[in-house]
Amino acid sequence: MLFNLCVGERAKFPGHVAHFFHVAFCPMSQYCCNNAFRSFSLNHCQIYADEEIARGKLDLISSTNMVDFAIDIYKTIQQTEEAPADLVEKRESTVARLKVLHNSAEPVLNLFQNEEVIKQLRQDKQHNLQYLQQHHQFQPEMLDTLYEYAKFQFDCGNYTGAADYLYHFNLLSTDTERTFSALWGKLACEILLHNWETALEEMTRLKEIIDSRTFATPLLQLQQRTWLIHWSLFIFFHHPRGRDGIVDLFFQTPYLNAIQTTCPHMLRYLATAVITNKRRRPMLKDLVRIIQQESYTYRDPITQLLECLYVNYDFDAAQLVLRECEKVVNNDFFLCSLLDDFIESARMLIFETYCRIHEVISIGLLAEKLNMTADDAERWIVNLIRNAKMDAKIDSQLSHVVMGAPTKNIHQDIIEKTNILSFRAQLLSSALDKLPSDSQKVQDPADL
Amino acid sequence: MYEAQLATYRASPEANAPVKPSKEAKESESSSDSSSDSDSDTPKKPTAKTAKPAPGKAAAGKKAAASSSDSSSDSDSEDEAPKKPATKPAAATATAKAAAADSDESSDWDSSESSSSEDEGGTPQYTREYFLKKVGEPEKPLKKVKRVRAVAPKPDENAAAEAAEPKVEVKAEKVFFPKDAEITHAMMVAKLQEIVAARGKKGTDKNDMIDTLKKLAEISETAKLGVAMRLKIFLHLVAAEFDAASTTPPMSTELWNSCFANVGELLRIVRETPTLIVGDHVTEENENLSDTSKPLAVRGSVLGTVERLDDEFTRTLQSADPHTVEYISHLRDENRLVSLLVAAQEMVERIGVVVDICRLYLRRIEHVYIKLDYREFAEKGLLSSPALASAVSSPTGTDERATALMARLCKYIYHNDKTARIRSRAMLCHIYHHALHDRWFEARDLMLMSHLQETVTHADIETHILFNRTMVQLGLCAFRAGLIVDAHHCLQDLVSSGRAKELLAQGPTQQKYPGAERNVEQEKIERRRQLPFHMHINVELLECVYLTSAMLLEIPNMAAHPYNHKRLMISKHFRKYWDFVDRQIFHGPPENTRDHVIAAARALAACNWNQAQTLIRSIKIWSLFPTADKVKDMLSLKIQEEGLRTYLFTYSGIYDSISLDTLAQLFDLPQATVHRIVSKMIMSDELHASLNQPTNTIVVHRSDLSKLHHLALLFTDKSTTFIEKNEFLFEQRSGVQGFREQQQRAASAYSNQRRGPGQRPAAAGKEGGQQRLQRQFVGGAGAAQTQRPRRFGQPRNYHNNNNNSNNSNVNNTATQADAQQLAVSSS
Repeated sequence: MLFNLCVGERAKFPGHVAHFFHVAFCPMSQYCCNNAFRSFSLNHCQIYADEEIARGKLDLISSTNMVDFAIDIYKTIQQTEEAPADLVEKRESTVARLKVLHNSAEPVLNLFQNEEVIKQLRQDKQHNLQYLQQHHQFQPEMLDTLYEYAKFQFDCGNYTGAADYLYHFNLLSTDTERTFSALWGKLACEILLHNWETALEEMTRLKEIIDSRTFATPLLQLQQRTWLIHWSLFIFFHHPRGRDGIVDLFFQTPYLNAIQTTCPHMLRYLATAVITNKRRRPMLKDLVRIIQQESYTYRDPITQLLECLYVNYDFDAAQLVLRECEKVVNNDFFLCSLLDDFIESARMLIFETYCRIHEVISIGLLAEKLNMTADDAERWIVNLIRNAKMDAKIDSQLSHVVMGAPTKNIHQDIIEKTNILSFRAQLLSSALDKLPSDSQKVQDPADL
Repeated sequence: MYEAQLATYRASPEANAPVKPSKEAKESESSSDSSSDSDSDTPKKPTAKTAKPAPGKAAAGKKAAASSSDSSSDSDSEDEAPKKPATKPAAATATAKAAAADSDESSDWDSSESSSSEDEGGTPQYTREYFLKKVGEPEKPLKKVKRVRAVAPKPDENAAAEAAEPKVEVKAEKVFFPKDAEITHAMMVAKLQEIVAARGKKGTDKNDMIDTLKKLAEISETAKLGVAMRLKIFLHLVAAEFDAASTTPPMSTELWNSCFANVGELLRIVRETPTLIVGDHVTEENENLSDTSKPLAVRGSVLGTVERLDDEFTRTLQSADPHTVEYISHLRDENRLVSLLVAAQEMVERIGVVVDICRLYLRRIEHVYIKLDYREFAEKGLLSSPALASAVSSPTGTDERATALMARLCKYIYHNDKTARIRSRAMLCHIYHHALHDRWFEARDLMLMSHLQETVTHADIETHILFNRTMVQLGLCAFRAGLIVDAHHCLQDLVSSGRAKELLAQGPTQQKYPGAERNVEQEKIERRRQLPFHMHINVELLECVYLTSAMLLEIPNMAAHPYNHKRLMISKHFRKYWDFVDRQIFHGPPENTRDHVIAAARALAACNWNQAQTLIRSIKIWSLFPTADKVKDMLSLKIQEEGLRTYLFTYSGIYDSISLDTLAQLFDLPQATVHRIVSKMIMSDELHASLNQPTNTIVVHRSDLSKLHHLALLFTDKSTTFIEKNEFLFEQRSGVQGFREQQQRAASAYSNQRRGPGQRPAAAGKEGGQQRLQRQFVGGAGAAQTQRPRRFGQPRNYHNNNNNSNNSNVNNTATQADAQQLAVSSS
């Protein structure tokens, strides 16, 4: 599923964006194949045939410089020991090019090895450039070499090196276009290296630039945002505080619009994040609205669950959908780790909604709705009551849950409000007393 | 009767096309007054006579002396018109032959070429004035023809012959060329210049000019002067024909027909000689009419004539009385016009100038977007009478589906158009078309993404009108899809303004003050803007849809707020009629559509959903929807549901518990639906009750507010407002900054202290509920106002002026919002 998503997205945005884009994306998908699919879709659920995946991997990798890896895959597909001629050839040329690039980039690399140089560098790019030019025979062209080298390293799968070089490049370069690409590259490297903390920082930086920069067309900006949304999934579902982050980012108006116009499939992740995140529960209402708006273009069990609960109030359907959700979450690369959390939260949601509209509920029926056994359900409810999360009692003879009746009293309400009023009037009059005498001329407004 | 006829036309311009006599006959049977209709293709004398006097009179007024010759020329053209179709193929072969012969004879004509070019340089360029009307026609630098004139020996024979021969009459009284003289290009161009020079001058008879030019064309045909010359003459001829119509705006049918044939001829010439270059970018000097060694080039804009023809077509329809046979017979010409546009489109696409393509695409779009493609409905099996689909052919003029065509043309314009106008018009047409075909989501998204609602205020009036039409169509589409709230939103502004006809350009502007003088000029401009009748959106249907959706929203709303329903009004327009009927002592049976809706609303308010259903279903105007039965079913269901809601609002106070089964029986709804509706009401705090699952009943918690409660709450609200204002005043006068925040903080601290920490509600879920409850009590109108626009997607609102409804107490609401905040923070 994700595989399709990645490849599909890649096809959707041909050649526009900066260099690093495709380049970065290929290893990323490869990474997906490697880590995600090997571990589960392939062995677990058998969604895709082994060979199909391997072929897809090969397609992706053949455009990068990870030739050795490609050869390995080729061998597994073809069941041979012989490497194809073109790949061998490519390997040689790649190695040769690596040498050339390495030689030309060496002076710059050495420069940054030097402790003294690092100390002298400051925030100001111009100053840095001047300093390097004066003291270390630095040429502006060397920067471009550095960039090329970083990209090549990236293609070869050496992400640590690439991240390092790109960092240095960004310290010096004044070329906005390339700096921008370099930032994307850096983000890709950090993601691939699983440095979620740094990746989050990079992403925030990138987001600021995308939001503040003026693009040639609004469409381009939209594309950049779409990319950022997709990439951010890697970070948000691995970073410890990611589930707050994803809700905060996706609910910003420009990003929400981007999701609605270009990638409504992101609603699944947003919905999951909101469901599993108690602190962001107030967003649920907005989310339901958006899901409804986009329901004709995108719909999956997770969004359906919310629709059943908050639009149709159809609890039987919700229970059916919940079972499907289980499958979907289990098969989703990003969400699989959240499975238990998700099921628990979803149950909680159903239960909460159910309790709000019911006074007496039979436990047996409730258990059915929550996809649990009756005993489990009872235990679950008891726990809820004990943790003071719920105002209810269990009638064990009839096996009913009796909800505490809402005690809203109109008289109380009015008294409360008028009490505050008198207090406020008091405050006001005392404030008037404190004023200097000349304002006494003004008619006393607190004359209630 | 007439409406129906027009509706069928709207659906299928081609179905009534005069091509097949059998269909014609059927047509005449079906309509009693269209007996003369059957021979619409052949020029008919009676109608011609009625149409004729207009230009004749005008000419007579101007120049009495020429009246006799005028009438003669009139009859001339009348005679010619019927001949035209018959002679046309012959003429076509003749030109083809001429083209073939041209290459042989070119060596001869070359000699005279030099002299002709001299003439061209010297004469004033009268033709420009007409063709340069379209400003902003870009030059095509690449296609400019470089001409190197071959200097040929100049035999004097021709000139000598010319001088020697006396002038002899050619056919008519007019003398064009000396008899037996070998007519050359140079002579022809000179003659043409001479004739055209008279154009626009006083005393020039325009009909005369048309005749002259026609004869000239014949002569050039016999003299085999080539396609380029023919094209040039025809360009002038068409221009002259348009001129003839310019004094008396609606073109006569004959004139239009001949004009149509001529423009068709122009397009044919251009198509058959692909090397020919024609356009405004060709200068007089660069014209090449005869030299076949180089690409031929003619000055003038074929596209311009096509557009003008289209304009004339609309203008004729505008001025015609829509309730006559002439109107419909003229409307049938649209088919031919569309096929002409298709031909022009091919030409423009071949030449490939982006601006021209965009212009022409828009023309085509404007012919397609109002028409319903019945085939698409038939495929989905939505049509109430499937026979209709087979009887009706495509509105596109080709086999292509209207939707595909619209998408193709519009996308090209979106990508390539540089002027905002064409793009926004294309977009509006596209939305309209989507809405017409019940593709609500596509239409909505396109509307929201285009941001047209914000930008349309800067556009010209025609675009405004189109925008209004689109909005209405969107509303109707939402209604058909059962999205009552959206339908209400879309139509509210237009219908409640009371000027729907004017805003849709379907009727005259209403005078603001009855005594005010009318501005004649302005009225004329306005009349030009009016849409032809076949494009009208039925205003009665519009109002019916609006009132019905307002009824479905307003009746439960009124039931929910029995004491302060005046303040929480959803539709003022609906309330106006409601109140009017309410005041009457005796209620007669409903007569018109509006009566029906209001009567249904009264039945619904009394929870008599059966009667409401019958009344709504008996409205005849629904039949204008292609899927009328579906709409009726949808409405019946909605009435049942809203009836249930109204019932619960009105009578929940007197129940202790209600069984869901009873409700389901009472309103003839499945129990699941009842459960859903009740749950929704409980969740949104509209109904203070909860469900008892084991017994399957609704347990009502407490009766609704009594009058006293309500007044007490109102009083609390007002005193809160009062103290708020005092604080505000104090802050202003004393200059103590931040006093109010301080006050609020102190107040909230005070209330917390009073209540104590132990009293906080235990369940997390309930806390939210209580807040909301409080909000409802305190906020009143304020809360409802802030929540309303959300229903349609907060970031992408349709209208900003929804808020106007409560303009009078803006101040009140503002302070109330503060109070509400305070209350929330205090809880």
